[in-house]
Amino acid sequence: MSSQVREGKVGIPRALFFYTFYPAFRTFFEELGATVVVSGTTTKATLDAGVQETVTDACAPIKLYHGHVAELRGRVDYLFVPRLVSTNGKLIYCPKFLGLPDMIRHSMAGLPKLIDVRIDVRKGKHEWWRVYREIGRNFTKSTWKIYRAYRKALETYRQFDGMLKSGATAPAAMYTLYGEEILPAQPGLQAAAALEQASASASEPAVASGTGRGADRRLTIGVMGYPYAFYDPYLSANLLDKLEALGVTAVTPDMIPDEVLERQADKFPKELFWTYSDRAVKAAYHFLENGRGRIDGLIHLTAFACGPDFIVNKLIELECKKQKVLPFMSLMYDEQTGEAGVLTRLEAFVDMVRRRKEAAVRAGAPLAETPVVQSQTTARTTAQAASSAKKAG
Amino acid sequence: MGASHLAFKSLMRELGNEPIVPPKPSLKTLNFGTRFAPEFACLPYKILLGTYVEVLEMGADTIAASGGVGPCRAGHYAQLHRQILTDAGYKFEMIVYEPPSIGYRDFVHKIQMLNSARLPLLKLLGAINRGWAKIKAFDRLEELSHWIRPRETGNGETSKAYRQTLEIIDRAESLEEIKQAEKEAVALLKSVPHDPDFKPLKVGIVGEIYVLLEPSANLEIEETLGEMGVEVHRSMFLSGWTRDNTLFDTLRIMAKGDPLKRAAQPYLAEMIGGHGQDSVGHTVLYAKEGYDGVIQLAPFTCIPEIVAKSVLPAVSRDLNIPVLSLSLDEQTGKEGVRTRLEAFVDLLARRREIKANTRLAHELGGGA
Ligand code: SF4
Ligand code: SF4
Repeated sequence: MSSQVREGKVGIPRALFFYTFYPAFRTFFEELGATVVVSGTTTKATLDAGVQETVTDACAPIKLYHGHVAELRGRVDYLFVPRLVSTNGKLIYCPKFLGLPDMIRHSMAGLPKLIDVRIDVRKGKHEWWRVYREIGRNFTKSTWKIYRAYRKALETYRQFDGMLKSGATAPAAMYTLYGEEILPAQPGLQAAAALEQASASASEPAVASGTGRGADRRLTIGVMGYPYAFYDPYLSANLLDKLEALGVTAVTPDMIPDEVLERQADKFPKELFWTYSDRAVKAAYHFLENGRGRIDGLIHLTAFACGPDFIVNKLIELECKKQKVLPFMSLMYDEQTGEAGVLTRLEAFVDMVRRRKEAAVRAGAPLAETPVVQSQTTARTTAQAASSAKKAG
Repeated sequence: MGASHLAFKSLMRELGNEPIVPPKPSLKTLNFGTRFAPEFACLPYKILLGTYVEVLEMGADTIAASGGVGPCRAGHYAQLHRQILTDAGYKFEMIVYEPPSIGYRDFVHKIQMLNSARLPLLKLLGAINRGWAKIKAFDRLEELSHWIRPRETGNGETSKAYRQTLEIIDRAESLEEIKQAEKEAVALLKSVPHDPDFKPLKVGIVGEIYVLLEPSANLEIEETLGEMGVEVHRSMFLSGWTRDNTLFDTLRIMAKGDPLKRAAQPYLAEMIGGHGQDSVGHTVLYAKEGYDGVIQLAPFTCIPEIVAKSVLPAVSRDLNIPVLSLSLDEQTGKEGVRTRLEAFVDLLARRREIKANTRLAHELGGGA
């Protein structure tokens, strides 16, 4: 009996595509009678464990993924490590996603059975069914049962995605779906605030929140980057919480509907190959084109030595420079980004954005030309800033 | 890349373009590149950008962006290059090609776009074939130099002779002349005093194509290794002449699928762009062919090579072949690389000795 229960534990690492696909797959596994185990929220220990298992030049998110796998190792019967190739039928993912199961398998020992299904729907959306069927075969022979679970999973996905598109952050949406269980110990400011925001803006489309509400000093800032970074409290040094505390509503690329982003497509002679990168750049272009009066600034959160990001970051920076409508800051993180350093820079940026906005409101005129704040901080300077801030404090 | 720019240069001239041939990538090139390129751009990106700045400074008004960099980010290279250079105030036109592959067909395609003298097709084909013949000659000479260098009895003679052979080929014009020149060049290289019976350590070199093919990007690693007495085999040549390129092999590939992919399959099951999967596949094949070791060359932040690098330790363990991964960026110094190479070669030499000794022990034991 007990062995039967044990055989159904599926581990899902809280990293990378977690913030996009977790709810769908959770539903699917549960419908098939499996128990889903998620690794805990990232801590220093999680990342340290990942660093141990990976080559030095891997980016922090990949190292972190290994850390979450390490946490699940030994606690589950299956590890869900899909190979995400293409989920929108057009673009692919960063090559590190493409090689993810290989990296995990060949650099980590003592792993449970890997469910490393290849997800590639470039041949057509019906491929999703093939993907789910392949996963489902691990748990049951009944195609009918798998099909039912698959329908339920799609339903959950639509529900979850709908919450994002109405302005909720992914952690907030998951909190709504699963409660404390998904954000153990610290539902925290981030979830609570975002929840509030989600219900507040439920009636408005994403970008519209934070519009000139008179004396309201709230700002809205577009946070570009990848969900696995800006939602991860450790990698991002609690970026979203900090923004919230500074009175800023964050709008992220996953809150913007696909059709809206697609309208930016013709601005690129060639679209970026990688799904998340493509979203980030298009979101920035979208804010620059349509954000006037609704978005007050842009932040790009980027990983140290991220392959695609040097292109993403430069494209956003150059466009900001050209358009001169929004202040822009890029914020770089790595394995040892200091909280304090991030906070200092965020405060300075938000201050500047706020002064600029208030000056414009007072003058009753359109905003003056914006300086582009391109303050790229590398790991070392972040650490320095952190330590000097500590000394100063 | 490598000596190939010499072939392109003569071709350009025949096509009626006044080519400004970028000088061999130098420190200056890199400095330009790093000044304008984002910090985490990969080395090929920086060198290419630096090269553009260099030719623009020399008065070029059109940039033909090809260059044979790995396909993974190359599609975005030109676009962003253009924006960065425009932002920096340069005025120019840019002809962009789709991600280049290596081999004859791609070569022809590129050339057609630069045919500003509007040579009639037949003549054009003639020009192309001459350019192609040169590229192949360069590749053959290079391969031969890899064989001679570790066996040379003097010091640095091979490299000296090799440089002369490049000039010989460069001077040749007609197909006939190129053929003659190649013969002459081969003879010259072979005349370098060497010991054909010497059994050098054999090392395979894998990695991202640009740093593999451009000696100034890989800090002349092949020369360095050769002069340490190591025979190197590079997994890729510009003309696309990998070892699987004879007719027989082509037929076999058609029948059974690409052996390279099959070799990589257990370790890296996906084409991840760039040459990541090739690096893994070549390493497996080198191991099976009895090479003493493999060196992986990867530009710093190169995504596919990082993936390859994470699975290479497993290949190394399973197939018992030492693998050294070198990550290259503008700060990599030749001396640092040399030290690491020396340590690696030492390790290989020791392993070979141990192997020989155990074999000897076996034979002696068997005899008794
Ligand atoms: S997109 Fe960047 S951060 Fe994400 S996995 Fe790839 S290299 Fe790492
Ligand atoms: S394969 Fe590597 S070096 Fe080549 S473009 Fe891609 S990241 Fe750059």
